[in-house]
Amino acid sequence: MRRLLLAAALGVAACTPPPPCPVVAYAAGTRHSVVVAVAESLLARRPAAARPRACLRLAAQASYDQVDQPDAEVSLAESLVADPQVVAVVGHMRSRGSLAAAPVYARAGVPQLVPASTSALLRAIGPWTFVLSPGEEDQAAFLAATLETMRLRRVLVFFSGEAYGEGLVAALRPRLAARHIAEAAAIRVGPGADVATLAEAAFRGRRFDGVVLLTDYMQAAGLAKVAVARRPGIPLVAGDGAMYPAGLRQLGGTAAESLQVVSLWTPDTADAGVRDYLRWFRRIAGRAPTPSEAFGHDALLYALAAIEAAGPARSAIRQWLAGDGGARPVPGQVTDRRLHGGGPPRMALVRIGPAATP
Amino acid sequence: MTLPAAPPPPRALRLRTLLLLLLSGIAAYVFGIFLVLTLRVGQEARRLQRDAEPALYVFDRLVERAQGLQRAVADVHLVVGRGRVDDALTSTLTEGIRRQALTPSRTLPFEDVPARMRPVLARADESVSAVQNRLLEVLALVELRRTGEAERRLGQVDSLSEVLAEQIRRAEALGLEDLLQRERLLRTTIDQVTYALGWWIVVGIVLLPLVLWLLHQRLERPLDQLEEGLARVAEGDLSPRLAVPRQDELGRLAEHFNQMTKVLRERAAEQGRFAAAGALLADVAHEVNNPLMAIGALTEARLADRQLSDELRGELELILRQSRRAGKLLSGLLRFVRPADGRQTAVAVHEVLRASLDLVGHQFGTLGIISEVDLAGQEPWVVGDAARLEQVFVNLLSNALDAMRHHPPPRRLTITTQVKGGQLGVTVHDSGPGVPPEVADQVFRPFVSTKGKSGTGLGLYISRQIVRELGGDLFLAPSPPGEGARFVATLPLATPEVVEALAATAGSGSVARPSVPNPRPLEGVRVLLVEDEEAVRRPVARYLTRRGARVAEAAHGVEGLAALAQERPDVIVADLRMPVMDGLSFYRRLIADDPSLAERVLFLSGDFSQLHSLDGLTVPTDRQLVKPVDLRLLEQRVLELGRAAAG
Repeated sequence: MRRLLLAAALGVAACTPPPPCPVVAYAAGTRHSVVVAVAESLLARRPAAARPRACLRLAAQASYDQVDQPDAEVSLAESLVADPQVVAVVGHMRSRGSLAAAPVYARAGVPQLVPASTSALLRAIGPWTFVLSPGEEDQAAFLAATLETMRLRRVLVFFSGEAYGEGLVAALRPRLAARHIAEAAAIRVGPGADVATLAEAAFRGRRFDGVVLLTDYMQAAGLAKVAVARRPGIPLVAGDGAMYPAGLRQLGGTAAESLQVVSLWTPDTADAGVRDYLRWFRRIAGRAPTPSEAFGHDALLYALAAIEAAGPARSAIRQWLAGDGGARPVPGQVTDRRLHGGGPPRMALVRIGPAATP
Repeated sequence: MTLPAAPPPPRALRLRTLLLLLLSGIAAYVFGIFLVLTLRVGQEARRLQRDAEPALYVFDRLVERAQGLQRAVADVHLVVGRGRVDDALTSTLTEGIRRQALTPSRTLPFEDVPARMRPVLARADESVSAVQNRLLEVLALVELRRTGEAERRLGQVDSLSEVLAEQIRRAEALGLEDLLQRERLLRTTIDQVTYALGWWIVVGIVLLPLVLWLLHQRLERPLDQLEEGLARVAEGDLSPRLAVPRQDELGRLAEHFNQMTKVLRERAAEQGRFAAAGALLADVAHEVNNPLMAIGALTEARLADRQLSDELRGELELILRQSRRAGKLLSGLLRFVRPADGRQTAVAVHEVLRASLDLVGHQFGTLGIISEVDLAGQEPWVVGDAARLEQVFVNLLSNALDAMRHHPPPRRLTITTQVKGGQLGVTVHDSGPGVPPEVADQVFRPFVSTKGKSGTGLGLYISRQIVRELGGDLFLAPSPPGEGARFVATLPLATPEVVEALAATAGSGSVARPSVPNPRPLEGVRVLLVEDEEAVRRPVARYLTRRGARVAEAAHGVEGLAALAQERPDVIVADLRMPVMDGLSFYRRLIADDPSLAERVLFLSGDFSQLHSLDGLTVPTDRQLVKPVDLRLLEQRVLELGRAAAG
């Protein structure tokens, strides 16, 4: 009889569907699927007891990578908010997209961890918007100090005509003035602009001893080409928006090698965990991770840690992230950044060298 | 034959529950209207506003930027069309377009725009940016002197501007269509709500008479009946009996009302019997007083004889004392049953207390009660009605005797008076079983009695009322179990000035009774004695004559008037109850014929209640002598009035 009961209980247990898995959505372009893959493979290597009870899901729209339109970002955010399984969102990757989507998450009470956007406006959206990367103020200060170190006195600034470039140039201007570095001109480069023509016009008749590029990697590559052709040897310094070496090399060719780009993250190779991450990332993607990918990885780990500690309710997760949970590093993270209360950012200026031979 | 008992009224919902339900129903009804309006119409209206405002804002900003760009496009056309490059103008235009471009797209609240309009507006936003970018490129080409290319690029700008204009028109049409659709939705909702509210009001109109009927049945009608019953009771009619339709609060109130009127009817019947007994007692007192007066007067007359043997004098004095004692008891009873006149006088409390003890004291011996009276040193005076105060003391003493009657001996009754801080405390303490603690706080309520059927339950209630009217209080002092009951009456003491003033108003005789040392003090005083009882008249006349007065006698009022015609007396002593013409009629005639002589009439009677029918005229108490009277007191009054007549 006892066996019969046991068998019946086991049968019932077997037929009962497993409880729905709380989902952490990674709202980014398909190019970022590698971040989710690396995080999942690293987590799978942990002992069974230490594995998270949540699922990771890449949430991207088909045209996402190409256009980065605010309405698409908002629609994506609305679809994630409407999904009860989604308990936290990591993303969106650019400042423009993050700013468009953040109010949707804030209104619905879904915690949003923004890994790589630098816009200062993000911090004013609400208490449930958590920014991991250093802000544009920090980067502007670093850039100004770097330009001063390079003894540049008059710079020509190109900035992208959207939230990232506009925010960063606004933060940079007072810092340049404070260090007595003149601004020869600030050229707005809109999405899809003919950067070559704009650059040529800007170089014509202007006196400057350095060029600052606060644009994405595609615009930076185009601008670098013109700069190298017109003013060989002139220092070219780019913001973190251009920090995609593979893309720069592909679009800029040898001109890209003249670029020095701000990197918001410098891997601490003395750390075994970081080394492990770099190895796994290279194994899966065939290249080194960018800072935004590393921040994305850490944001995923934060969200998973919050679910482990506070349970799968959105309210509990956001409370944990807003409290002590967000103030301490989580196991496995690689950037040494925290959601709040972290130390000064570890930024560096990286020269884009020739592609390494595989 | 006994009537079958009426069935008990049906149990009904409690009135407060019913009212609560009714109020809740009305509140729910009103709240329902509010809820429908808020949830249906308000929500739709808010949604319309919430969706329309951001869309309009985004649209306005786009149109504003597009218009600015149109002007810039026209300017760039001028520049390109000149064929000659003006660097300053180009630079100015470039700066203008850049400034305009600095209106960042991130400030547009796309997240609040309805999803249907979002892509159109976003594409228009992008087109604005694209036109700006192209314009800047054109200006860059102009700056680079590549005018041919600039012209071609300007053609692209024109195409883009047309696309932008088309997108804006589309956004406008879509927005208008969205707005109209929402307005239609709102109108539909309003129609539905109006229809629902119509039905809601119809339901309300149907339910209203039901609610009013319920309120009338359960509230208004019982209250009307109760009010009518109370009004009849207030008018003195104790017969109303209210119907008890159901067992709710008002039903129980009607039951209490019926019980109250029943008790009042019983008390009224009892009081009627008591009043009849009082009248009977007054008649009896009159009949008994005259013989007592005769016995007393004759005995006093005999005692005036100095030749009497000691043995006979002793026996006569015993007869006199006993007759006076009987007379005192009778006058006390009369005073007690007589209705109080309510006059405020200076009252000697100890005197009233002694009179009360006289009334009940005859039971001390039969019940084996040891009484202890410990009175304060000086006579305490209070302002009030002596008869009513006596009623209080008699009630307290009677209660004490009743309490000890069935209690095993020794039985002890202690009466104490104490003066403290302008207050007099009178304590009556018995050694009976005491008042049970559970009824201790109820004994002063009306119709509460510890004597069962034999008690009216009004004694202590009325006593406390009387004492409180005098400015004092009556309460049950705590006493340990087994030590009987201790009732304390506190009374405010009257000041000597008030006592004097009240004494002067009432007549000096009520305060002081000076002795008469002169053997013939009435020498020269002419007295007319009108008394039908010869057994009283003769010895009184003889006594007054012996004390020096010249006395004329009459057997009734008519004889008295005849005697007056012969000689005008200084003082008239008259009985009240007489044949042919009673004392009251005689007095009225005197008031009419000779008012000054009427002021010198001394009344001698066992019952002065007739004097209340004198139509506003009052006879001072010092001219009212209660039979059997102490002849020395009569002599004193006659002397005072005789002196007043002599001027």
